[in-house]
Amino acid sequence: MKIQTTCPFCGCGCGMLLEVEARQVISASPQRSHPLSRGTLCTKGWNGHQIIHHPQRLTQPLIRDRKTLKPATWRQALTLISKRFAELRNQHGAESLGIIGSVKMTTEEAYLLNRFARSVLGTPHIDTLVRYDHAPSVRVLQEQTGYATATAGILDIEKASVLLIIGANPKAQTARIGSYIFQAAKRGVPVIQIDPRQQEHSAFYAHFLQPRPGTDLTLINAMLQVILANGWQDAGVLGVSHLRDDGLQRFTPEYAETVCGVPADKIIQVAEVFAKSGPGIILYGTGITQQANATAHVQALWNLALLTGNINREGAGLIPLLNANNSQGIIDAGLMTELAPGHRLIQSNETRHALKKQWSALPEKRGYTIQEMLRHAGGKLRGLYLVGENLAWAAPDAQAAVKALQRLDFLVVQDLFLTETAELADVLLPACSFAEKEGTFTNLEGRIQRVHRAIPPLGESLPDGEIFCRLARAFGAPFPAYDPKLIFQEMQSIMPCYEKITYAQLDHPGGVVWPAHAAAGDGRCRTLMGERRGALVPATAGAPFAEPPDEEYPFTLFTGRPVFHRRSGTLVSRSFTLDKEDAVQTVEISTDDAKTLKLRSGWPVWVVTRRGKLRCTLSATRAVAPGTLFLPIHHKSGPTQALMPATMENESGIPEMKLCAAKLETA
Amino acid sequence: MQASAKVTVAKHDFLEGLGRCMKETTVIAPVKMKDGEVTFEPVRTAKQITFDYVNDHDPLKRFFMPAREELFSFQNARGKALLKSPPLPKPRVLFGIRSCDLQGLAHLDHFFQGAFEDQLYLQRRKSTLIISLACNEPLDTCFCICCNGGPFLESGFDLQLTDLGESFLVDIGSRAGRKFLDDWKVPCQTAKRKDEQLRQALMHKCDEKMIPTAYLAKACIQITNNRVREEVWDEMGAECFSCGGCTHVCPCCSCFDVFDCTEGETGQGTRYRCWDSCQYSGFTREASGHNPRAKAKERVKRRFYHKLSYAYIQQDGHPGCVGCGRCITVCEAFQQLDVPAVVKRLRRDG
Repeated sequence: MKIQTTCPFCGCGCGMLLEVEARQVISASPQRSHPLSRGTLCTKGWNGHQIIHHPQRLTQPLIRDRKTLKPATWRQALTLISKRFAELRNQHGAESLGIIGSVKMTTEEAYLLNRFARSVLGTPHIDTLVRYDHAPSVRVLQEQTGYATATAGILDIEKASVLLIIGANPKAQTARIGSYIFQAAKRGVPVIQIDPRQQEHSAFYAHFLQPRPGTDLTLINAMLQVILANGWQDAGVLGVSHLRDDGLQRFTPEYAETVCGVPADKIIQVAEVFAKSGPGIILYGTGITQQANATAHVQALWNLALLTGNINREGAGLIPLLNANNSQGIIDAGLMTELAPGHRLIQSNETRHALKKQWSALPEKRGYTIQEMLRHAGGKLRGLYLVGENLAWAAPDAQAAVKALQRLDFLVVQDLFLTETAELADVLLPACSFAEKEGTFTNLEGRIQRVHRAIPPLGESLPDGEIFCRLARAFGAPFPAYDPKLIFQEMQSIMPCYEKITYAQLDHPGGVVWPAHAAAGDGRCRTLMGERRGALVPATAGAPFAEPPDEEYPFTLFTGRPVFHRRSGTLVSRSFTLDKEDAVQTVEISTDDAKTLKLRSGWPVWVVTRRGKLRCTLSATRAVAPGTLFLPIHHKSGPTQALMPATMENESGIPEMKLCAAKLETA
Repeated sequence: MQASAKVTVAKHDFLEGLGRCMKETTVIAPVKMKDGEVTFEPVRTAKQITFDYVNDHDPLKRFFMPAREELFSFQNARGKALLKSPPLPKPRVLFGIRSCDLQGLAHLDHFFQGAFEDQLYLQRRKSTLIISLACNEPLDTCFCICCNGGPFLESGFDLQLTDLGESFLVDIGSRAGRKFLDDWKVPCQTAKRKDEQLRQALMHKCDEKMIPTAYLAKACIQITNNRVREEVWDEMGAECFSCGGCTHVCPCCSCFDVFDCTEGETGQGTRYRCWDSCQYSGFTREASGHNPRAKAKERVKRRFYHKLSYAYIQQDGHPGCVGCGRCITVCEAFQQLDVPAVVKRLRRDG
C-alpha cells in the first residue's frame, strides 16, 4: 500500500509515496502528479526512509539518574518536566526558561510549541535553527514585504529570463530547484553563479564568478553601481538617488576587482546581463546569510531585485533557499523570538490584538536567540526544552555550545535518536518520524502540503504535537487532544496568510501555495505586498568578517553542503545507503596550494582553527581558489561547525559561521 | 500445453473469474490513487481494478525484489548463531503487468538464477501467477519497440491479455495459466482468425504511435568499441545529480546491498537487503577506501556499459533496457541522462 506524503528533507517539498507492508515502510518513491517534483526525488528522498525503522530509534522516555539515562513512563517524564520547569519559574521567573524548536516539525506542531512556550510557560525565549540559516532573510523580507518569505515561486524559475545564484549549491542543497536551474541553463537562459567554489553544474552556466570568500557584499554593490551608472535600472523604481548618495559610488567595478578578485569587465558584463535580460530571479543560500553583515548582504540582494524591476513580476523575485523541509512553516507559525504567528512582529500591538482570543498570555518583548540562550545558559537561563536539534553538532563553536548546555539546571531533549545533544539531557522524550504523523509542511515558496501517517508511532514514541499537548496539560493548561486539523483551523483564524484554504485542498498534489487568494498569473508577491512597493535601503557599510587569515592561520576556511548529507546528519547518517556515501570527511584545497605545501590528494590532514581541529582527507582541486579551504557540513567523523566562530550579527542574531581563518597540519 | 494457445474471453467473464480467485488468493492489480495516478496493490474486488492506465511509475520488480526486505533474523544463543528465515511467500496473482515490466522480470530471472540461485527472489517468482496486459496505447515516453520489450510478448507470462474492446484475446503461456482459467471457471472460446487480425492491427497502430528515439544499435557499437570520447562522459557526469532514480525505476536493474540492524549489544538483529545504485559512490568503494568509480562520470559510464555493451548483452541475452521510459520521467537532469537521450548522444558522437 502506498501512502502519499511530503519529503522531509530539504525546502523543495517534493511529493513522495511511502510503500507500507506489514506496518513497515519499505520504500519511498516519487509522486508523478506532483506539480513541482513531477515524478522525481533526490538521493535523500529515495533513501531517507531507511531512518524510520532504524534500530537506534528512541521508543520510550528516558530520565537521567546520575550519569545514566534510564527508561521511564510518559507520566513520570512529563511530571518531572512540569515540576522542574515550575520550580525554575518560581525561583528565577519565566524568563529563566528557553525553548528551541525543530525546523523539521509540522507547522501545526510549531504553532503548538509556540503557544505552549509563550502562553503556558510565559517565556519570550523561543527560537529555531532557522536562526542559523536565514535569520537575515526573515528580517529583510519581513521589513520589505510584510512577509518573511520568497517573493517568487519555484515554478517561476521556468518563466525567468535570467537567474542569479549566489552563495548556494542548489544541486546539492535543494536538488529539485537545482534541476529547474539546470533545465533553464540547457534552454539557453543565462544563469549567473557567484560562489567561491566551482560546482559540478557551474560549467553549464553562462557566467561563473569566483570572488574571494567574504567579499560578496562588495560584488553585489558593484553590480548595483554599474546598473545605476549605466541607467540600466527599472524606470519605475523609487529612491535611486538615496541609494546612489549613500556611498554606492565608491563600489566601482575596478574597486570591486581589487577586493573580490573578479575582473571588472566580468562584473560589468553580469550586471548588464542581469539588468537587461528581462524577468530575473535571485536565489541565495547560507553562503550569503552566514557571513558578517549578513543582513546587509540580503538587503543588497533585495536592492538588486528591486532596482532591476524584479519584484512584483512573474518569473522574477528573490528566493532564499531555506534549508529544512519546514523552515517556512516554522516562520509562518512564528517560532522565532522576534515573530508571532502570521508574520507579525511580537512587539506590535496588532499582534497582541490578533492573538488575545486564542492565547491566554503573550510576552510583551522579544527574547533570546539561540546564541543568546547559549550565552546565558546557567546564568539568566536555567531550563531549556530542545526539540529535534543536535546543537552539539549544528552550533558554531560546538564545544562552547556543549559546555553551555551542561551549565543548565535542567535540559529536556525531544528527538528520534540519542544524539550527542540528547546524551546531555535530564529528560529525553521519544518523538516519532514524519511517517508516523499527520500535519503539514510548508516548502520554501509557501506551498502547504499534507504529511500523512503511513504507520503507527514506533514503540511509545509520539508525534511532537501530541507531546506538546500532554506537556501543556501537565502544566494545567486546557490543551485538547492533538488534532492537526483543528490546530490548522486555529492557525487560519489568526494567520491571514493561511486564510481561504480548506484542509481538503491540501491533499491535492502540491497542496496550496499561500496566500490562497492569489489569482493565477497575478504573482504571489504582488498579492502579498498589496500597495507596498519595497524600498531601496543602502547596504554598503560593514566590517570585514571577524576572522580574516593571518600568519598563524593563513587560509580562509568556508563551508558548504554536500549531495548526500543534510544538516547535522542525525537523520541521513542513519540511512544505510546515505551513510555509506560519505566515507571520509574531505577538505578541498587548491592544486597550487597543495603543490606549494607538498601535499597530495588522499593524505590525512588536520584542519585547525582557533576553536579546534578536525581530521580530514585532503582533496586537491581547481574548484577552490588559492588561499581557501572548503569543508562540507557535516560528517560523522566530527562536526564541521565546531571549527567555525559563533560571532553573532546583531541585526538578525545569526552567527558568522560560514568563514574563518584556518591552517592545515599533517596528520 | 502449447505456449501459443489462444482463447477469447468476454471481459466481464474474466473479471468475474478473477473476483472468485480474490476470495482465496491475493490478487495484485492496478488501482487508482487519490491523485489519479495508478499503482499496483492487493485488491479485494474486481471493481477496484482500473484499466485507465499505461503503467505504474514504480517498476513492478518491487513485488519480487522489494526496495528493503528481511533476509533473515539472527540471535546469539549461548555462543551459537541462530538464524531465522522470513516466512515463505503465499501464492498470489499479479494482474495487469505490462510487457516491459514482464520483460524486465526475464532480465532479473537471468541474474537471480545465475551462478547463485537467490531463493527469496525465486520463491516469490514461483508463487506468483502473472497475467499481463499488452499495451494498446503507449505513453509519449515509451520506446519498448526499440528494446524488444513490448508492446506484446511471445513468452514470459502465464496469461497475456489483449484488450479487444468487449473481450480479451488471451495467450496462454503456461500450464499454470490454463489452470487459472479452469480453476476459476473462466468461460473461454477458441480464438478466431479475426481476433488475431484485430490484435495485429492494434499492434501496428501502437507501433505507429510510438516515437522510436532509442536506436540502440549504433550506441551499442560505440560503447562496445570504446569509441565514445571522454569529454562526452565528462559532460554527462557533471550533469548527473546522483539521485539513483534511473536505477531504482529500471525494471532491469537488480543491484542491492546488505546491512544488519542489531539490537544493542544483545547479539540479536536482522539482516536486510535494500536496493543499491551504481550511481552512488558507495556502490563500488572498496574496503581499503579506494573507489574505482569515485566520480559521477565513471558511474554514468558504467551504467551505460552495463546497459548497452556487447559483453553484457551476450551475458544477459538482452540489452539492459526494456523501453519502459521511466528513466525519462525520473531523471533530475531533465531529459539528459535517460536511455533515449544518452543513446542519441552516443550515436552522434562518432
